[in-house]
Amino acid sequence: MSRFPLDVLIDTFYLLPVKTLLRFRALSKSFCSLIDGPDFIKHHLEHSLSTKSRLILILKGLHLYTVDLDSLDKAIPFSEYPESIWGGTEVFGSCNGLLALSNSDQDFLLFNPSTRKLFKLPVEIIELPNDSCIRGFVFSGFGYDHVNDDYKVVRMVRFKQDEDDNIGWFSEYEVKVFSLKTNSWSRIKKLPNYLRFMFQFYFHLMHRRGYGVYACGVLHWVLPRRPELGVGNLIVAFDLVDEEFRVLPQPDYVKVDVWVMKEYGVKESWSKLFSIERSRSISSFRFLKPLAYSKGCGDGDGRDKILLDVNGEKLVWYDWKRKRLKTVRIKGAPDSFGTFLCVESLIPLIDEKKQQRQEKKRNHNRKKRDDFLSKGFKLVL
Amino acid sequence: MSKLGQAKRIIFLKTADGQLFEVDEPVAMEFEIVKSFFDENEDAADDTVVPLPNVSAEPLAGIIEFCKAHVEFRANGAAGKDEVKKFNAEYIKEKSNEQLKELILAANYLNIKEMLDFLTETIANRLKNKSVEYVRAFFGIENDFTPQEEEAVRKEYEWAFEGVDED
Repeated sequence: MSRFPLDVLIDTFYLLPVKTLLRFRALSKSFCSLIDGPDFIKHHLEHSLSTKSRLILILKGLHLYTVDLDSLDKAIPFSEYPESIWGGTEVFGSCNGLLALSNSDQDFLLFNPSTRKLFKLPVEIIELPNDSCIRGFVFSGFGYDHVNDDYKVVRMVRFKQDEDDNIGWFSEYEVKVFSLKTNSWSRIKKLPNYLRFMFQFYFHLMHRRGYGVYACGVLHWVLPRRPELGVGNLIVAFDLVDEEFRVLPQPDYVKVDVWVMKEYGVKESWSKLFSIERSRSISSFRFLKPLAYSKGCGDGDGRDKILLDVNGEKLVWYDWKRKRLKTVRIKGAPDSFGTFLCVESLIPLIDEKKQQRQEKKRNHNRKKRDDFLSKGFKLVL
Repeated sequence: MSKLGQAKRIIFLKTADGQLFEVDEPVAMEFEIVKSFFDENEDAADDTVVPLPNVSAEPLAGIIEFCKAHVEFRANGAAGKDEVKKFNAEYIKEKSNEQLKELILAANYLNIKEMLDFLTETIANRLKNKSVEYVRAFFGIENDFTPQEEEAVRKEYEWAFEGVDED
């Protein structure tokens, strides 16, 4: 390549934005295959995640907007909308630079906003268990299965006896999982009993609480208290690796606190970050979503802040040590929004190598056929 | 490590172009290659001259300046603070691309992790908005695409070629 040490050069490339790297594919053949290579893509992503760099905030209002997390200055509408993304498109998940989008309960898409590549999932119909029941609320989620290096979409459909059936005594569930690697859906047969109580009308509809929260290879939904059924608060977890449901242990909280689980699945590892104090900026919150820590958080300089989405109406930086709040004003942001954190990544949505091989094979077969035909012609001549 | 207790030990370094540098021990020990030289030769005399056949005087002087400042920052508990950022920005501001490359080659050979991290970050910042042609010249990359192949690669992500700085 050059007398510049290759390992230093690659280390430098891990620091570059995705747009730059897509341009640098044109440097030479070896750079093109370096940047397209799975190892490079993986390390580039790991570097961004570990240094909290190249993070973007996605705002879903009437349109989709991106905001640079470092500056949080202005909301930029998605520049090149692929045709299948429009105002009604919902974001229901974000993982490793990929966004999971839905236009309806059967029209799902995966989109990498950094490479602008889009992948449409095959349509999977919702099968009604019997003719008399109707479709109820649909939960969805998206995440990464680190064991099989696969991205998965989960769709859970609750069925109702009729429109007024909001209790869920007899309701059935259909849970289906899509695997990007195999490009196919499969149905999960083993469903736990508590799943049938997992719906409370306003709770899941408001603030996009029906969308699974991804962490450590697992998707999570909150099953709110249903005193009339004797059900307490539960965190329902769906493991994307073994594709099974379980219940996540919770801390013993008393009021509205923000807790962090330091070691996944370990009840004792929950530690309280802060309690929500009454204050002017978040005195009347109905919904609070922690989005990100400030850069340099935890390095002891006392500036430990967390970015919060309050009611889907405003963003605030909360300094929990000094108990100070600062409202963030983003130019061009919609009045109400859903928030998703997304990292820039080169993660591809289709296996291009595999596609090229198939293409090559097709061309090869075509060539064989042409050769055969031309030979045949020669014989005739 | 000093045999004379409180007295400051000086390390002697000799560059490829024959210049002798006298460097305070803590600064010289920032260079992994110098550190392992003394680890491997425990009974080396105090006035041993460490040969650096791959480094010339100019980048070495620059590297010593950088490491000296950073050793002091750490001693003063200023590591990671704005003061360090300010120093780094001043330090690199006047360096040309050629000087930057010389520094990288030397820092890579001497194996100084902190400085390498800083230099790669500087290069990444200088190159992120540059054109393909600029970057080829910067690293001395030979373009082995045919014009048709290059055209096809560029077409795949045409929008990534917009908004590029003038060379």
